[in-house]
Amino acid sequence: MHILAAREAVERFAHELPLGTNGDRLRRLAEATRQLFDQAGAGPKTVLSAWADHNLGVLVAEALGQDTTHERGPFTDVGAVLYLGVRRRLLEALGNDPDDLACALALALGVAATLSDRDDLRLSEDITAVTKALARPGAGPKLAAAATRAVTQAGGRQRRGERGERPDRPDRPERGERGNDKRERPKGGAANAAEAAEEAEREERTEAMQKAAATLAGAVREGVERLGKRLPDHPELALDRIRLVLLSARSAEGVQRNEALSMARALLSDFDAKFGPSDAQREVTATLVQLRAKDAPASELARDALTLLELDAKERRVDPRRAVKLVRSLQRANALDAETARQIQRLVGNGEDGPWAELKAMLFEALGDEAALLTLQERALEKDPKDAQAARTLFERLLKNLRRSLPSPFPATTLDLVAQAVPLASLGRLSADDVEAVLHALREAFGVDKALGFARYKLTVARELKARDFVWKKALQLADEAKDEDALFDIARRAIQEKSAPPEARLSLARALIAKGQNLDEADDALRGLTSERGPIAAEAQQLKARIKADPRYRDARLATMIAFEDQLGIGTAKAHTLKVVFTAPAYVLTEIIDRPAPDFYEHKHLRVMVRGEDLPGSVKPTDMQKGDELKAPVRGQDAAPERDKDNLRIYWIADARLVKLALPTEALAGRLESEEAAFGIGTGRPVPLKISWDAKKKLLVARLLDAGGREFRVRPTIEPEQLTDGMEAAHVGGRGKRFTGVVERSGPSQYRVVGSVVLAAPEPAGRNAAPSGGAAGDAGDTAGDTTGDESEAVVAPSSEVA
Amino acid sequence: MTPTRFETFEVEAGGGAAGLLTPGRILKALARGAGLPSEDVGTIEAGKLGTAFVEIAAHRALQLGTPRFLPTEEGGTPALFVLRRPDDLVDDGRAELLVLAEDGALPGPGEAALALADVLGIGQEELGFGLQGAGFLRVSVPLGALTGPLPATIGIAGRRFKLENLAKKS
Repeated sequence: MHILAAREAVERFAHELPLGTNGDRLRRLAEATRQLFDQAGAGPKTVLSAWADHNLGVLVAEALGQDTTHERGPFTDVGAVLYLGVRRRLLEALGNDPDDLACALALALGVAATLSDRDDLRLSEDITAVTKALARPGAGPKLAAAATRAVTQAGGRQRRGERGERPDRPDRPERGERGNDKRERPKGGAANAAEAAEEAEREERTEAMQKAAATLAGAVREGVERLGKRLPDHPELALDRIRLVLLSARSAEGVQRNEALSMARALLSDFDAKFGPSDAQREVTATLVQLRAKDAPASELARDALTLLELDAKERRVDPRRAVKLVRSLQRANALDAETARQIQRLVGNGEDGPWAELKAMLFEALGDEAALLTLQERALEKDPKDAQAARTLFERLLKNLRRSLPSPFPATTLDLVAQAVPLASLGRLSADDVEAVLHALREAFGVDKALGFARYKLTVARELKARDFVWKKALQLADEAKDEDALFDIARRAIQEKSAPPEARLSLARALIAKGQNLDEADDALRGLTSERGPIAAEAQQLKARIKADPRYRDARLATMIAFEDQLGIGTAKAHTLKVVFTAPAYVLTEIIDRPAPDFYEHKHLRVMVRGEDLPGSVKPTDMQKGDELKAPVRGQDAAPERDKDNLRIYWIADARLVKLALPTEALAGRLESEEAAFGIGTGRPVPLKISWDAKKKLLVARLLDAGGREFRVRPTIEPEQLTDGMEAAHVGGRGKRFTGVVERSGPSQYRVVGSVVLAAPEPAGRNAAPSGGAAGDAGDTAGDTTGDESEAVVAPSSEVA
Repeated sequence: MTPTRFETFEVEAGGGAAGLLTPGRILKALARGAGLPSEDVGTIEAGKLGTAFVEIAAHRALQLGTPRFLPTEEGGTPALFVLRRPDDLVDDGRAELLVLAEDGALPGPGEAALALADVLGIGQEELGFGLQGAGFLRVSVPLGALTGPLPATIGIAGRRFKLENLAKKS
């Protein structure tokens, strides 16, 4: 990382530091560091720049080192920004001077401070560097504590849905929960898809981070153990050791988990005996209770939690965050009965709602005091309209009433707040009846617009509900009813992107677009797949499709798109396009411009250009070309005649035949056909397998020459009816599986003819081991082998015709 | 015209930089390190060896937090001045040490951390802010680490250095 970037980061840090005694001190240090960077300049590393880097590490560590176990320090935010800006330089500095552990300390504290907001895998690189530094003999307990905090932070990361809101940060609006402000509305399907991808990526990163932390936790534990031997009476080191054991329990299962938890209990008991209680020790004990909630006996858990709360209460230092953690653990272990709740209530007292609201709610719930719970949550929601916890509880109460066909348990103003703040995760388990009931309640209270808003911004955004078609149907129905065109477009477009989208969403979108006369392409796309079905939906889809086709604006819009695309490609200019042969016929060659894909509605992936025989240079004929050949030529476009070209809007030709240039020399092309003659037995004088049919339109016989592999020769030899064996009628000569043999030779450049009479070949046996049939013109099918006059040479009929 | 009011500060140059403390150099260090133009600086009066008293215009002095380090250089050699008020508080929990070079070459942060951790019994990560002056280093360490007698002579990377407690010295 460049020194100037580090200098800028330090300057910004100094500028953003809050005022106050400590802030001023840090600012002075930051300014001195900036001056050191100025002096060190951009030259090679010197002792001066090494001290500048060291001071950079000290600055980061000083800013971030004021965090406590559960409270962010006053400089954490600005320190985290500095850390993220200079972490690469700190890594480099540590690499250059591994004894300068101030940089390692800064990295460890930086990881711990930023992991709560970021799932950045690069940070695991920093943890690795920290664990290496911890292995150095001069590492002290401060680095051990920071490294422990970093790995426990990374390893203890919770996935989405498990994460609680940080108490010191105001609730951020959940994705998709943006109220009714139009500027903040989600941008439909694209936003949802992006959200899902982002979420999946976040989950993946969290998992990778947890794995990295679990791997590195061993190294940190070794370092802590080593230090512990050197400093056996260091209380922080002893607690770090317990924290690491708890981290290993978190990632283990079964016996290993139980062993780790037992060890943590034993270590905590030793700690108590040796050092006595402390705030940090109680925090660790609370984490132990939380982890044991999964499998420990309820009575034991309740006893541990109550002991902890009693100690806190005795010292009048009950921390609401820790109390919530304990009570939630009891709840999870089904250990929160009314008696325990009453005891806890007595211990924590009746504090202000604010930080105590969640705890009080849990206790009221355990005590069965519904009225108090409702009042508490109503108050909390009124005070903070974004309080998700309160909204969740109230929404559950609302559902309970609605399921019993009772009215809402709270007034309309609260109902409105609940509808706005209820988190999406609480909506996941709603049944069709619940959805119907909630929307009905909202509609009764506020009218159809509010119900539509709830359906649009909540129900159709909730991950689990997005997969249910009844939600989309209901939302579309409300949008229709409210005559809200924007909502209808938004809901229908998002619904179409879901696999479970009901066909009504496609119909609604198409209907609305056709009525508006806009985006008929989109309407056409929306109807795709519906017309092939049966029933009333398919019938309406067909009607709508017919209306789209009949609309002149539809053809005009597509034509305009094609012409714009031609302009982009340079069709109609002197530009020589690279054309790739995709198909050859005796009279023409079909090619593609492969520069860029054609618009979606074009029949093919790339624009197709017709090259007539006369467009090819010199003596080259279309039959000399083969699939994959390339040529260069200017191309022109022309409007297609609707009566002849059906759905085609434009057709493309070579603009100037004189400018056509082939990638291969003409000699190589001419020689190509000759080299193939031998493989097909042309000019050898021996009979070769032929497939002969009657072209009723042109009134002439068509012969196709096949090789041993069933591949057809690119030029068809001419044959006259007189050359057929006596008794055969030209009009009835063809037939499935019928093969002839005859002699073929070249009659001119790229021209061939059948010489003499052709003979009907004996049909191939139906199966590989079947006995040959008696020579009747039985239908052996295209997959059966045919035999030629030479019994040893089997011929397989081609599965599809080449030309 | 209202007369300019001044506040008096002390400028300190440690170690071998004591002789560098001339008015011109002080003005240069104040301009580069604190952004003070010379017109906002009043009289400069020499104090005891390695210190000087500087008057700074009151409206600028109000914006100056102290103690303020003014790392500078003189003829390519690093030098360090410290601008302080007579009543500046000492940082809680930290002590400032001077590491004086006997042969001129100063250690890097890793070397200093290794040696000081060994002498003071602290973790290497606890070596705090460090600034290089002319022939000396000024480093911050945890106050609780100063249990042994100072000044002392220590060896860093095969070279000998004198260690002094800056607070005791002043």
